[in-house]
Amino acid sequence: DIDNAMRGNLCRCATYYRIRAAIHRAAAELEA
Amino acid sequence: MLGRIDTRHLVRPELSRRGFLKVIGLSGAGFMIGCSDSSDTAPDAGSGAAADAQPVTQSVMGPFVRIGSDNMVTVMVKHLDKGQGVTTGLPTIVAEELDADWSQMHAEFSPADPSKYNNLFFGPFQGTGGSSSIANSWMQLRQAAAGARAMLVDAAAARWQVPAGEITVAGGVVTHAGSNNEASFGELAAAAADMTPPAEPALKDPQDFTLIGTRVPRLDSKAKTDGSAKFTLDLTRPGMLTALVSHPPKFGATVESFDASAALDVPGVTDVVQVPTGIAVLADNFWAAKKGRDALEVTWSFAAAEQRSSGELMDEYKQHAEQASLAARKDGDVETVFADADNVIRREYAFPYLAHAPMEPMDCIVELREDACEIWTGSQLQTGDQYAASQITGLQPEQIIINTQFAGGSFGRRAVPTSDYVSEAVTIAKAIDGRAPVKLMWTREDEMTAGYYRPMSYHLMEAALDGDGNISAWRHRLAMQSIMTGTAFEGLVQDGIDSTSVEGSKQLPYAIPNLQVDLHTVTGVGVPVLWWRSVGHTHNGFVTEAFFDELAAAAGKDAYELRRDLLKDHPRHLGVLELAAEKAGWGEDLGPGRGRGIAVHESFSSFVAEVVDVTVGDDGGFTVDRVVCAVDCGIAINPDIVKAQMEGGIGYALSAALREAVTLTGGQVDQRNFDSYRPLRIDEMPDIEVHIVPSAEAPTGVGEPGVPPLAPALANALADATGKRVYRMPIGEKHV
Repeated sequence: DIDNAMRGNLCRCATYYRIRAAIHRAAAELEA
Repeated sequence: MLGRIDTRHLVRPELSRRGFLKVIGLSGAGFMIGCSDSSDTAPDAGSGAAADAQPVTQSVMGPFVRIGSDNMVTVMVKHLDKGQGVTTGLPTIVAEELDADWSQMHAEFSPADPSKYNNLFFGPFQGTGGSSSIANSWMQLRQAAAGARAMLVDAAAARWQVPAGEITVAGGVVTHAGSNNEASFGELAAAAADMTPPAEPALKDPQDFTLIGTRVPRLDSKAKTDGSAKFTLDLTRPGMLTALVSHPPKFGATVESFDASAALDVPGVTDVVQVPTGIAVLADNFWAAKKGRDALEVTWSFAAAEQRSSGELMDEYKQHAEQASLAARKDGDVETVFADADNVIRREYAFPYLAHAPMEPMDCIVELREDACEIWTGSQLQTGDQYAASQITGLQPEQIIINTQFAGGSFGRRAVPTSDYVSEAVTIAKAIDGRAPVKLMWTREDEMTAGYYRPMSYHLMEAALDGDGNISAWRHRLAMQSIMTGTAFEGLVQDGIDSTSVEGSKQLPYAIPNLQVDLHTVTGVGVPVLWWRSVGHTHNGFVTEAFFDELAAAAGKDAYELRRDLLKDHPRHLGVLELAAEKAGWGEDLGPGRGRGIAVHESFSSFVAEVVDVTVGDDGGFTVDRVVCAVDCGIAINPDIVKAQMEGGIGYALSAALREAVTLTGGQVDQRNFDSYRPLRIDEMPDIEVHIVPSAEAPTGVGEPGVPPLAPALANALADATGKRVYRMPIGEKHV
């Protein structure tokens, strides 16, 4: 889901791993 | 050290380390970032005054440390932060020896001044590169901070009339338990600045580190997340004009004539001026400048232009490689062993030009005044930029004020020996007599087609195996352009050999008795070339590690075990190799359609090994599933930043390995934007595990070292899965 939604955003620094983790975390915190 | 740049006149007389300076508000030198939620954003560059009007007294404790009466500790960062995290890493070193609390730490880009802020590995030259920021700053900052700490202690001792030896410092608080006295840094700073720092301040035992080695939060995270962090692209100056330059469509082409009438008719366009790099259009805003540039009519002469296609060039390079004869390394007698050998394995490898393609294209603001030239940009070679600007303006280098900004990536692009885009901006400002501030902007298309590239190269690898399957002789011949020849760094080219061309191969650590590395420097190619994240290691790391793997297979040996065997005398290579293999589960059977490859490489004094796992479909389509990385960078100042740089280097390398190439047709660059130069996307990012080897060695860099092992480990994994090797980059969508 994250990959599909975020596929249009490029990062030249390849922080994708952390972007994914941040989205997971934000989702968890928003739900709480 | 730098040869052609005479920097002697840039060096100021030595200033006394002891200094006391009362400054009301903040200096205008640069954007300050820190842990506290401060109102110190600079909506306009160089506004100088803090948004918060409360006066704060700053005490200067040497060139790197400033302590405010508000208890804020500001570290002057002499290096450019292009995302790699020096604005956190360098202050961590200071905070540690100072015994400060992390929450009081701030970072500010230092002024451009090689007498105080030179890179200690570069001589009298301020600049960032070669993954050297932490390494060259390590002892310098430790001493600066320990000295400042001693001054604070002495000030407390004098104030409380107690022996300095009984005073302790922790978390930004200075305490004398015996007399029940305590004070913050802020309270002592003014008095401390009057103290004489010790000639050789006592440094902490690394065992006592409380910040170094931990994941302190980055000082720039909040500002970069909430958008308050300013990059050159964000900045404006009153009355500013925006400039775009029409560059020649082929390198070396010149302007025969141009018609500016249509451009000048575009509302908002104010000037059209010819500069050495092309025709500049100035306007009130970016869009008008762009429309103006689009409306320019320029007739180019291609008489002196590079008109070859990349295919033609590569054919020539192949011939050059075969004739490569300048020995960068010559151990034993390769020729004789080859002549006597039953079987010489020979393989050829080709690498394209690569673009850096940082997310923030080149940009630079120049305010040219009678007595100074003030520049705002993500300057990576400040001294070079000062020198170039002084040549253009006729001002002294000290009159060139550079306000270093965060840079949106560089990967080497901003470190141009000729200060290309800064020179372009200053030249444009001069062309309009400094009548208005000029903001030069390069579009993505400019960045792709007019910029500097990682050189193309062709490689011939040959090796002989003896009866027991040992590598008895190894020869590497390569042909490529020299990055440093013809630049101010030419002094570093020794005996005709540009060290950046052969790095990573010349220093091959494997125990091979007969070993030769021969270079042919290609001349007469008009394509401008430059260092690209890890430079020569990008192609040499690949050919050495991919070829080695193929030899291991030919000898019937395990790729990992053969490496271990031949790296017996290289404990730090072994350390990362074994750690990566162990964490990756090397040796397990992955099953059909899957492959695992390994590579180990040292660059910029750090050691990295990577194990890549792939899944390959019947049609050759493949996914990179996981990368396990082990790094030895000495003391890891901030383990999370080390991991981030490994992840970033791996991602950057993977992007290049999969799809990146700058190709030329008739001398014109084919790629114009990210539609044709397609970087890695989020759904292609593998899982990455980074393991840091515990070390007490002095810290070494991590910006580049993650890059070289990735592509060969990937190629080795694909070979493991399919039996087919990779000889040309990029690999492409399918490996068949």
